Amino acid sequence: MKEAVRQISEQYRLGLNEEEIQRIAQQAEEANVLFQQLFIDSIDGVMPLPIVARNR
Amino acid sequence: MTEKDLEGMTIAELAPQIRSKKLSPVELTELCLKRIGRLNPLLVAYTTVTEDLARAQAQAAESQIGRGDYLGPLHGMPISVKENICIQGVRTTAGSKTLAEWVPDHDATIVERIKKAGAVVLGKTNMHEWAAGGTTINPFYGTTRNPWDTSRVAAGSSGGSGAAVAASLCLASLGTDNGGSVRNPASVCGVVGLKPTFGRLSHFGGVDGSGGYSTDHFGILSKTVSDCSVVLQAIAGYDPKDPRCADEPVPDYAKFIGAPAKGLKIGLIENYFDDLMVRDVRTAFDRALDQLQALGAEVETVTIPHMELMSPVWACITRSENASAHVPYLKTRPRDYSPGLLSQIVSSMLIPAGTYMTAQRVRRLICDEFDEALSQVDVLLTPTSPMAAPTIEECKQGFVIADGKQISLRDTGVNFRSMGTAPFNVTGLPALSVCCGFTANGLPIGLQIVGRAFGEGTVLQVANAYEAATEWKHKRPSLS
Repeated sequence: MKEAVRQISEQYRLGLNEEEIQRIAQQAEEANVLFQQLFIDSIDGVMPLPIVARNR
Repeated sequence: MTEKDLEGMTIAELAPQIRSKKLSPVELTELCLKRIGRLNPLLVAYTTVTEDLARAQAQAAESQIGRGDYLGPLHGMPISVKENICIQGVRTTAGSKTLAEWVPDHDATIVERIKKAGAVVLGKTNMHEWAAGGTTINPFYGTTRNPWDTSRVAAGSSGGSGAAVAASLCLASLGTDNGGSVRNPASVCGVVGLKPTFGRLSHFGGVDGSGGYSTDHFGILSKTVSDCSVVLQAIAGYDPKDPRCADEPVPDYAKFIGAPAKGLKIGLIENYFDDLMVRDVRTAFDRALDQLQALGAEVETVTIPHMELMSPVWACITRSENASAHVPYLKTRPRDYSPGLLSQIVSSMLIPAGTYMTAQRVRRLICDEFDEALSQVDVLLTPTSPMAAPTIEECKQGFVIADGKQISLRDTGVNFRSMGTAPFNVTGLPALSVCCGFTANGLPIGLQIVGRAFGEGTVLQVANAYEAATEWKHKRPSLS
């Protein structure tokens, strides 16, 4: 994950230092753990919701 | 009229006086400006006060009404607008350093509509940096303080709007709500906050990057439910300038004000909110439920099987969408962000596309489950914020102690304070917060009423019936 953050930093010329890269990578990893809950069996065949949620 | 009179007055009470020319819009506007001048240094509710614009609009309203051309209940009424909603010719920062000098050349559609209704625009209200948090502790424009206890936050991100309405520094305010940013400030400031259905209001003129494209909503903060209905009437409706705006007919919301709650079915969501409320909030919520039952409403329990996935769905969708809007600013001015927000945005750029799409699929499941629940009941009832306003210091340290437990105010997903509100940014359902009591130390508590898609009328009906049966709307913070 740190490498991915480093690449974004270079691509956008963010100039992130090592401490920032470490912190952001850790945040991204924590978020990914949370998002693993989303991969559930009961969405088989379920279409994603389009952006205009209430006009669907 | 004195400042003390103004504290107790609402749009519904002032409008007839303006219409009958007993009260001058100029006098009312000057009173608000005087009050802002006195209290804003303490509360930091406004970032920009548009004195010249307000005076010109008030003068124009007075002349127009003098000629017998009365436009309706917002004519001559002083209103404020959040920092991330465009007003032509007025600096619009979104609470950021990045946009510190940006002056839009256009009005947001909802601003255009309140102007057309004759409202007087008093200025821009403070907000959390880029609306990316719920404290309105803003490193660039100051910390908005809660009028009920100035050692506490006014929540956020529309904290300035909540404080301004509660302190009578305006009669109503326009805000934005991506996870509870209208309803939480309303809850902790003891005022009414409405996030209408996604698509009910045009979002044209909202600043990109201050919410997810499919989760952010414009909303209204006001002193009473009736006032909220007046503002909603003026700003609701289709706008071809926003592709997200729905071409749905706008009902006459006044018909829902004063209508009884008797016979309406109220749903309680099983196993979600019970563990969220601190003791004072639980007590107030239970009393509000009893009150609505005493008014003749029936209560049922409903089930949302995938409710526990609300936090990752909201966080994944809103962060992915929001991060994409920041790319131009990241490329040019990355160090204009506060360090914490820069980290959050960059980490959000690492969410895989497949995860985002999966979140959108789970979102459909959840929306279908809510639609099913709302086919059984007319509205859902929840607490707005699970606790009253924390202190500024508690927000800075990142946790509070409540009921003997340490509660984190930081979270990887939905922040604890937004657990009650963010579900309705995921579903897009209309949700309103109305005051339902106070803690033992005098802090307001909010009750959230949620309706069917485009069912704002029923939400207003239940909220107004509850409000009319209680005394909470008469309580005002002491700011002498």
